Amino acid sequence: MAPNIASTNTDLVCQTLRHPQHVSALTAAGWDVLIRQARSAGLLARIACMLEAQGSMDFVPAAPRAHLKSAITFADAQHADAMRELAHIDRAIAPTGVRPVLLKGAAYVAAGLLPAMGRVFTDVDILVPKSRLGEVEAALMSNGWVTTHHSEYDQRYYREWMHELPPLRHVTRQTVLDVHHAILPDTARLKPSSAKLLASARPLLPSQRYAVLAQVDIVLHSMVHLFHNDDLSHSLRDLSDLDLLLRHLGHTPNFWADLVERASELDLKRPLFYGLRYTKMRLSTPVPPEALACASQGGPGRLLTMVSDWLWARALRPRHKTASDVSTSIALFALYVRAHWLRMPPFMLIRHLAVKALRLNQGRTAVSTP
Amino acid sequence: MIVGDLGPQALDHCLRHGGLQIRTGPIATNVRTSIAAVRRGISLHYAQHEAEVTTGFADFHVSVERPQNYRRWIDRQVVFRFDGSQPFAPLPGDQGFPMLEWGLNWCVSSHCHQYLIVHAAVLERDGRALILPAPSGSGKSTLCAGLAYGGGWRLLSDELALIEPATCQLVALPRPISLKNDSIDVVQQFAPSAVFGDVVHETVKGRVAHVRPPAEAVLRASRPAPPAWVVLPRFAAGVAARMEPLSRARAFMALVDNAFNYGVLGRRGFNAIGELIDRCDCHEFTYSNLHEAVAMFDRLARSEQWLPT
Amino acid sequence: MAQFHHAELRPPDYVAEHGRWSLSGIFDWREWDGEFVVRVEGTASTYMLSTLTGETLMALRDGAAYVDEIATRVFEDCTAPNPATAALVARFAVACPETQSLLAALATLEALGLATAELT
Repeated sequence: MAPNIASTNTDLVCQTLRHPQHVSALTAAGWDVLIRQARSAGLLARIACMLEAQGSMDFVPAAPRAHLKSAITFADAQHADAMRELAHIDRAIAPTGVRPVLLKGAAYVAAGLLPAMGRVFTDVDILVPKSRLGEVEAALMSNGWVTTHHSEYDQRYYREWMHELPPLRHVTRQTVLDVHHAILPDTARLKPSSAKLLASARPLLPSQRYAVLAQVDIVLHSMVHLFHNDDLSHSLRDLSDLDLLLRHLGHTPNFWADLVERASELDLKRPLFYGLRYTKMRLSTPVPPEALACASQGGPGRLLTMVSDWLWARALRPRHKTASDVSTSIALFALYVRAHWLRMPPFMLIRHLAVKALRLNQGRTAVSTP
Repeated sequence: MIVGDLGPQALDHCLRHGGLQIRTGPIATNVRTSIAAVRRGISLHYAQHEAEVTTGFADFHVSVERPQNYRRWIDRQVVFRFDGSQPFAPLPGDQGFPMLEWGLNWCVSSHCHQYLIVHAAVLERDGRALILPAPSGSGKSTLCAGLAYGGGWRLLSDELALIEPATCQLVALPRPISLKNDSIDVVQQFAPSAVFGDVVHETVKGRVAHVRPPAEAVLRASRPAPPAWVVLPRFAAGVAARMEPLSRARAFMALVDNAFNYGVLGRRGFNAIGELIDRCDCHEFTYSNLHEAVAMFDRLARSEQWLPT
Repeated sequence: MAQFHHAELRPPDYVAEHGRWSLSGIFDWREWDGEFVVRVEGTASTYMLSTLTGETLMALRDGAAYVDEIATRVFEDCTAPNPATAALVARFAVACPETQSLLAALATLEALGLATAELT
């Protein structure tokens, strides 16, 4: 079915991710909307790579094609930068003997997983044991990384309550490094054991210091990140990452059974439920019915599921005016509050939202001046 | 259709609602604004540029508006938006048209990685391109305006050299030339026929004004040009115009240092600049008087190989 | 009394003078009129190199590995009258000022991530 762009609030990105071959039916106006939506969703390079992989790039009209190719060029440069950055981080941490576990974008690229395709990212995320956090931070700081978020409240927020250090920025390279000790905050309701995650991590190559999580853990982390993140600006991209992970790893023998079992073991049945449900719903991920059935045992009741469906249908779209309507901002706000609700006890939540609201009122400047 | 074909009411309506799609060389930008000064600037500077009012494909969607908050009326500001997002802090008062121009430069230099993009003026004569790479304050724009308006050179761009990596051709993107402070007076005297827009006074760079690109430059925007000269310009008060040879390696590094997206293009960028330098005569140029400067470039264009005096 | 048994304990100068030099990674280069520009893939950095440093890099690229071999390729006329003496001079780092500048060029290449030396 050809994509329908006549109505407003159309998600051409999801349509294209589901059926890349249908771009051949796009009009000039359709390409205009797709490029803009994809760019705002952080998925322009991914869609470009998909079209190139299926051999249809040459048939894309010249004007949109230039943007697609430019996005690939940019993503390739970012990958090369990320690899160089990993080498710098490795050199800095090496003396401590800690083996950092790569997470998210850096893991996909370093491990050659399918979501590396067209993945654009600015930060590197690593996971280290909580007991070694001090050593790692010291090693990084003596190699040119400095902390960000200097207010006392922010420092406490990260160090005491969240599962990561305040982001570190390198003084000369200006790259950002997020050092995690868990995949969810200590204050969160769900308690996936970091010890178990680290124990199952495996080195990228026998000779390398870097490790990545076990395959099922990478998938579960992707689900946790997507459904517990208060920053929803990249939610569609994160969903696409999850979709590609499932498509890539889904053929591994026993994968789905292992996934369900591990979710149970790590207290992550709820994110698993949402992950499988919404990738299938938005991106037609080929999830086996048995896996869905097992996962639904970890889901909430019917009413709450309906509410979730309503919220996530609006959040898992490009963050663009052509893909939104009035209900979108309501849904995003509700999910923002929910993310914090899941991360911290009520009294902390109220205080945290108040601090953030106060900051918002004091004014926020944008990124740069001409 | 060109922008000049639209009457003032039609132009105003278009800019306030669906946006006016203006073609500048290979780039089509959908521009929306409700600010009168910006509309005036567009009407003046883009009169000869091709335009569309119906929606098709636009490379970029931008707008220049007053902010939504109280700064709309009190201590007024202008905001540049790129398809809904706001890449820059707001600017004060009536800097709407300069902000549009800076924003349009940013759109290209941040997104058009199909080109190697160098911060340089580019002009063409007899089918050969002259590249003047330089940071702000070097006198590049003044020289560019002089050459475009009195030197017999076709303007390709005053800010952005778009280099096709595969062919090294320079692609034209003719847009208004931005001048600051004394340059405004110098160019007005040098080229009385040059059409200037409003002079804006409150910018961090001082007085800013734009000069409309020559009609011929806009008409021939679809013609790229092969590179022939790389000249590093430098304004120095009181000195006689001087054109000196520059080693190719230094010219190479000057292009690298002035490139917006050299890092993004990686090895391809290195090789493209290398091939471009292979084809160019390279010089350093110092001047204080625009007439002398234009005359010297005239000699450069007419000689096969530069001979020092 | 300290005994230098292991290669790693040798002072860096010793390694540079007596070790085997090799290129450390991918790079692109161009040369015009004796001046070189080079892009180091490992650091994504681009530099201009002097004639000496550039020619040293070319010598390494062409397979020269020891200081005397590199010197022979780089210098058309060393102070010593013939290649054999030049080799002797280079091995013992004696009196040949060109050797010192060659070592400086090699040190530059090492700092830029283009070359490394190891004792064999």
